[in-house]
Order: sequence, then structure tokens, then C-alpha cells
Amino acid sequence: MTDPPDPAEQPGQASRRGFVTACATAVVLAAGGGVAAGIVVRPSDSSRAPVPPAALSDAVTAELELLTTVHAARSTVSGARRAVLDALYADHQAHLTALQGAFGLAGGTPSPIATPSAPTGGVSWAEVRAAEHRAVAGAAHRALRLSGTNAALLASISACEAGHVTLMDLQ
Amino acid sequence: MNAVATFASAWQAALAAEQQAAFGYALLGPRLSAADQDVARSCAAAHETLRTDTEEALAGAGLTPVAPRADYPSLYPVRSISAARALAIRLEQDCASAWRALYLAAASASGTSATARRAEAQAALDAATKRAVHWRVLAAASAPSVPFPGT
Repeated sequence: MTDPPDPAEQPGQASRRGFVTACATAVVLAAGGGVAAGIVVRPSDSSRAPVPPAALSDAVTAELELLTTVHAARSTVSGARRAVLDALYADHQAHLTALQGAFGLAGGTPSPIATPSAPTGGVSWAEVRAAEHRAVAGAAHRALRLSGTNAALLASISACEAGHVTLMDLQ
Repeated sequence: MNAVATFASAWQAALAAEQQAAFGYALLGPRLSAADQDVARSCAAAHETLRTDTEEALAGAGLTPVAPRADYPSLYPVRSISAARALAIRLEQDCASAWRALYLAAASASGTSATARRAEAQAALDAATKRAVHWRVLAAASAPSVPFPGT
């Protein structure tokens, strides 16, 4: 997998996108911050049926990247902005849990594994906002590739990300 | 109820939620501070536009748009700024729920109308969610956002 370089990433800093890719979609689970653990969602065995829609696995990956980004930014702010990022982080954790549940119901086999700690620092408030903004369209686009409850789940997640942008703008 | 009937019912419910919101903002506005009233006016205008657009879309699809109620007793009383803000949050949450339900119904149905409604429902769900966040911030709510708007 060769994602294009993220222009927001700065030389000398850990690549957020690279981190997510290298860890095969790792997620920071520690709600209080500091301790990092992870989960990887492995593609289901091709002999199994049904195969989860690609949009669901894409959505899991997107949430993992958002979690990494928000986590990395939390250490750079304090006060009201820290509280906002904590709220965003909690929402993304809830999204991930729901998406993993949907992925499992669709025939996928999420399995937890240990992962390295997420990179810390170096992610600005503006970069988080930009990531949330991109996530609005991303989730909405993935919703259109799905049907029924999975589509509605992604639609709701897209709306949540839109709310995140508003919340950040109000700070 | 089959998918088509569910879809039509959800569409009408979305219109009903917008009608309630338009009514509710007129009710809560006078209780707000001047700054909050600017926000409320913007929200009310958005709901009125969406209400009209939804009525026209329903009519265009050959359906008879549900009529607004003469009154909404469940929205009363609004005796304070905090009550007005809480009502604004509730109105937006109700709209978000209605539009998400329409999205689900459309995503469970087929046809060009259902496909078109998905985009409209997403936009309306996003808008209600953003307004709800704004009101929660003004109300200093402990949780300014919710992970699954409309649920």
C-alpha cells in the first residue's frame, strides 16, 4: 500500500498515515491517554462468506487514522481545547467500536493485537480540523456505497464529524 | 410496512420534524439573549427553508405533504434562557433523528427517489448536528457532541 505523502506531515516527525499503514490499522485504546494498545482488523478469509463490504473496512481504517491524529494532538493543547479533543477522541472510539461490530456482523473477523505506541506531538489544531473536515465527506461517501443499517451508521458518523468541525470552530 | 411505505412515512416524519423546529424556534426566541437570538434566527431560517423544500419535494413525488400541527404542547413551557437553549437542542436532535431515519429508509429501498433522498437526508442530518453542537456549547453542556447523531 503506497499512500501519497501527506502534505501536513513535517520532516523529522513520525508519519501519521505511515504509522497507521505500518501498524496495519492500529488504534489507540487508552481512554486516559498515555498507554497505547491496539486492534487490527484483518480481512476475512476469502473462503468465508459473506465478505464485509470494502466501505466498512475503509471506514475502520479512517477512524483509526482519526484516533491517531487526535491522540497525537492532545498533548499539544490544554484547557478548553484539550477538552474538545478529548470529546472528539471519545466519539471516534465509539465510532470504531460500532464499525468493528458492523464489520463482524458482515462476516469480518476483527481480532485484537498489541501495537506500538502512537506518535505523540507534532499535530496541530488546524491539522485535526482538516482531518475532521475530510472525514465528513469520506464517511458520507462510504455511506453511499452501503445499504441499510450500515449506510445509516456511516451517515451518522459523517454528521458527527461535521459536528466536530463546528465544535472546533467555536473554540 | 413495506420498504416503500416506510420510506414515504420517514420522509413525512422528516417534514414534520422541520415543521416542529420552525414552530419551536419562534417559541424559544424571545427567551434568549441578543447574541443567542442571532443564532436562533439563523437556525429558524434554515429550518423554514428545509421545511419548504421538503414540502415541495414530497409534492413533486406525488405525495401529499403532512400538514403542520396547530400547536405543539410538548414544547412548553419555555421560561428561561436555559430552557430555551435546551429546547433548541431538543429540536435539533429531533430533526437529526428524523433525517437519519429517512436516510435509513432510503438506504433500505431502491429507486431514483430513494437515492436522491439519501443526499438530502445526509445534508439535513449534518446541518441539524452542527446546530445541536452550537447550542450545546452555548448551554455549556458537559458533552458538546454525540457520537451517533440521530440515534
